Amino acid sequence: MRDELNSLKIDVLARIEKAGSTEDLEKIRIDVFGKKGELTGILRGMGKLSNEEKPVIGKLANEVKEDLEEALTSKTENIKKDLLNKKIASESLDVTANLEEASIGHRHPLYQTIEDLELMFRELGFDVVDGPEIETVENNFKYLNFSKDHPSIGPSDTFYIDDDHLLRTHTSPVQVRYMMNNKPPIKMVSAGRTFRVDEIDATHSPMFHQIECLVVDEGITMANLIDTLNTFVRSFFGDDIKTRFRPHNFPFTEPSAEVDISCLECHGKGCSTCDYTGWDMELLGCGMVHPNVLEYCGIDSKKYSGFAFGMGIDRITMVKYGLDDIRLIYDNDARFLEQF
Amino acid sequence: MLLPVNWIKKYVDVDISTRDLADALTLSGSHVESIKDMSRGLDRIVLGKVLEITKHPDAEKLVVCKIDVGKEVLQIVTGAPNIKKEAGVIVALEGSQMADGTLIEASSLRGVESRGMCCSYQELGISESLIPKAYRDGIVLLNTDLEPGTPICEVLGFDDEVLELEITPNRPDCLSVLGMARETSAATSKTLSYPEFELGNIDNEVAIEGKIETDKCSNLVLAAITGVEIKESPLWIQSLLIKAGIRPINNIVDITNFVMLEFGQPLHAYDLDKLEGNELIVREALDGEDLVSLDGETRKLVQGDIVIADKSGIIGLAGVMGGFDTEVTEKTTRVLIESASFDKTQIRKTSDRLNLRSEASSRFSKYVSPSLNLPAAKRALYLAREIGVGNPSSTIKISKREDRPAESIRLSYSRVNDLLGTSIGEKDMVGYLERLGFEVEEKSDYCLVDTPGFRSDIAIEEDLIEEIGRLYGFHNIKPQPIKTDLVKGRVSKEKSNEYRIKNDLFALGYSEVLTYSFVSPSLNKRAGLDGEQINNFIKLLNPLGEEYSVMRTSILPNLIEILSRNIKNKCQDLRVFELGNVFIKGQSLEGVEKRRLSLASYGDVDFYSFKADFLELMARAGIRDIIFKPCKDLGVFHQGRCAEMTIGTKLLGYMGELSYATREEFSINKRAYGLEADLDLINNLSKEDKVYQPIVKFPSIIRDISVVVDKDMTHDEIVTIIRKNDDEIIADIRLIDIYTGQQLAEDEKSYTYQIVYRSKNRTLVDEEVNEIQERIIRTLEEDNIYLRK
Repeated sequence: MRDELNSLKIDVLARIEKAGSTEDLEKIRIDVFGKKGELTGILRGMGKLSNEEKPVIGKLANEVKEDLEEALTSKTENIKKDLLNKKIASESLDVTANLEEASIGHRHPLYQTIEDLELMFRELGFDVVDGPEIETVENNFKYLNFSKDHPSIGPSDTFYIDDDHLLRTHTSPVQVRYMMNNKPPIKMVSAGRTFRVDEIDATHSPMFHQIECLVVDEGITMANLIDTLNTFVRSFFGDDIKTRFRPHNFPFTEPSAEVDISCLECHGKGCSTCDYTGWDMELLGCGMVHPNVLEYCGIDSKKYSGFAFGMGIDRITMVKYGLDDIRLIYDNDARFLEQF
Repeated sequence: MLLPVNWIKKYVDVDISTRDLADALTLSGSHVESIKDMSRGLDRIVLGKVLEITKHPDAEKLVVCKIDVGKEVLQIVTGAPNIKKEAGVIVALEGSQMADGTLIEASSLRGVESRGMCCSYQELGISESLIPKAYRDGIVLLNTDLEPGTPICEVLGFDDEVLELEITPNRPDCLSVLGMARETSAATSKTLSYPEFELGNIDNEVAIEGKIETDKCSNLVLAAITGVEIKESPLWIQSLLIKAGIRPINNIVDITNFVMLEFGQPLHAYDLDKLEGNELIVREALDGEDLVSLDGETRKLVQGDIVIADKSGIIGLAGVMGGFDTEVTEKTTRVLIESASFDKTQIRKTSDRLNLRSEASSRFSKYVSPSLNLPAAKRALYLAREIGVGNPSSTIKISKREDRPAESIRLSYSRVNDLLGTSIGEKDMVGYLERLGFEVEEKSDYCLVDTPGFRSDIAIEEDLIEEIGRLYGFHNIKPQPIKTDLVKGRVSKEKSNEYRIKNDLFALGYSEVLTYSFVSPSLNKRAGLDGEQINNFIKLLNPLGEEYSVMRTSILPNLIEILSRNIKNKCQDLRVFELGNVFIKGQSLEGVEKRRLSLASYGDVDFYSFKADFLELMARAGIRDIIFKPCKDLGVFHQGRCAEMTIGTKLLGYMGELSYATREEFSINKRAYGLEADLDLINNLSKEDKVYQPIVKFPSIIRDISVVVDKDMTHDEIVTIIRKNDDEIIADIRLIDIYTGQQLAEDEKSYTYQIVYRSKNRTLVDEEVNEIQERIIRTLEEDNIYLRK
């Protein structure tokens, strides 16, 4: 019986080795371990053995059974592994190929700039508000202290709807609206469309965009204005960008200044872009709110002071994204839009 | 304004570099936009003296000259027709580079050696418009005592820089050398000296009279110069004029221009002998009068224009341009100089109406201080005598009204520092103001300030604070943070909703576009819009042209144009959107702006995917109850593929496939889709807060049914019928297929629905679902809708 077991083991191991599929292996399992299986048959003869032989043969039979089962399991796993590997090999793709395109919509760079600015000023505690594109002549000029004969009031500079209405030439009238409807302390910004009579070319557009900022409270100073603008410029353009305040003139501020920033090309070192001055063109106009403007808007100019600034958004968008023609902003060419 | 640095140095002892001077001026408010080095490229160009001129043996138009250039005598061949023996000429030596880039080398011209070039003003880089007539077609001839070989920038006075200044409109006083000298003196703390103009005793009495008959002229100063010989001005005057951007004409005109640049006071010179009588009258024109101006044009005048007249009639358009008949010519021997102040608004009006702009009109329309009239006239006479043009007469001054000195302004010292955020000392404040020509009377904690006549811009205390601030230097103000409560900036609900809508649109693959608020009225018509949208525009009174003449009533046409342009550029697939305003005409212009959302798309899109995008967008905004109704009468959309969208009783907008006509008009050769919705309504209805609904844990049972319906029947109608069996366990009815085709009759279509059954509190059993499903089928049959076989 010992011999029978040993030769069965050798025989079955050989058959397992030869088996080519999981089906073959399953057949072997049934042939060997099934009710009528070969091993089962041999084990049935155990009863005839002497008491001395029983434990010895029993042990051997168990060993043979375990060995064969293990061989079956491991062969099954190998075959499965081979099958999987073949499947994987047959499924390989050209990972260098691109067959599909996914797309997320593109943000318009000018609106991106506006949103960046709005978010930044919100974080600094400024309310973000909007104003209408069609304004009254009074809000756009008179309440901003423009003299009646100021050249920009004429139809060669300003688009008119009728005698009393125009397309706002700047976002400053939002200051007027806001001051008329809110009491100090006031901290607001407003960005939007503005219009001036300009033929379209590489640097001009009859419609363009500005952002306006206004702060009114007791004890607001020019030093506050400079600090606010420095903070804004550093966080928007970079920590190494410096400002230069040049005295200027606007009807609605006194004192007034224009602000230059370090050349963004060379960061102030001097290059051909900035004519080796280290300074870029003017970034924005600003100043302390003219007392006449405060008074027009019902704010006591003896008690309160304020500052304001206004900045063209098209130009900083152009600088930021390296655009060489303002028309790109308004052409909406997909080849342009998809770059952002 | 162009300001030669050497001219400034005549009146202020500038001892800093031009770059530093430019910075000082810029930081005190006179923005130096550029610095032009006049001597650039002139280092190998010298004064030469023509010793000999002989004919070129082989070229008729050329001559061969021997020219003394100091160190040697050069042989130079030239084609200049005006070359003269003994004349001073500008010689570019070998190795010099001309303004146009030409390099001068020894060469042979038709076999004759030439070692240099005689130069014209053009070749030195002087703009055509500044070159005196005599030298426009030839080389420059110089009348000078300087030695041959002297560097030309020394001869011409081109040994300095010219500052290009941006002068703000409130500072017309700075549009002059003297004005800028004053600013320079204040900015650099250097003493200002004035040009000499006192004439001393004059014994040349010329009978002239003047009369002012209009309030638009406050002051008139007249003077004469006799014994005049008209000729070229001395070189130093010509050079200064050229550097300042004015073309030299003749000695008299040059003097008037020179004084205008120096003082900012425009002068006019008449040929005194061409005047009828000896009286000059300033009056207003009458309708129908006219004048032939200096340039030979006949100018029609209207009531109100300020004119200068003599006995014969109008001889000049005051402050704008003189008359042709009394012009100074080569034959003139007696000159009348007029120096006056005219009303700036009227001068601007006249010069705008006639589209006639001169150096004089641009200055007068800003403001010329009457205090300049007399000194400027005297300065002209002084120069005339100094450079030997003629003999000055005494001046007469006629005043319409005395200039009342402006009231003193009270300046509180503490207010200065309160507004600037500085701690400037009182002495410094007073010092800054005095340096600028203000008269200051110091009191205890304030001072009284008198403004000089030329400062038309100073009216209130804040104006003085700016003066102090700019001389102290804005750059010297120490930045100080605003003292404020900690708050986060607020934004309206509408605005934050629009931020979110944009983000969702990007996620859906739509790109943002930006189009003009004004459009061509024909654009809407071409797009197929009608009714109010093409008949009721808000129009601009002064548009840039038809293309931008009305405010848009819809954004969609702009987007259709974008589709059109991009399809031309071979863009295969495009989804765009714009959030913006449209302008709907109403009773008044207040509140005419309405917010709109517009989408457009072509390429990988169909009606249902386009609609699904919008539904998803709205669902994210918490808006789920939009009713879509077929809409056949909008020209912009395909009649069978357009829906009117409503929410409750409110119109939300329209969407659909663009009509064949619209696509043809815009050359869009693919199916394209558009939508425009009322963004105010969306903003109003959108819900920002989302509340969690517990997830139903019980499984759902799904049953499909396919029904055959009449072609005109809508999905909404079918669902309404199914919903009649409104059992709470019908969780969803999803349309998963629409079929038309061979297996159905022409006027039929088949819809396949997936009905999802689910209960919130128990597991459903097949029997109850079957029962409802049966009921649904019976209800459908009552409406003659049968299952597809």
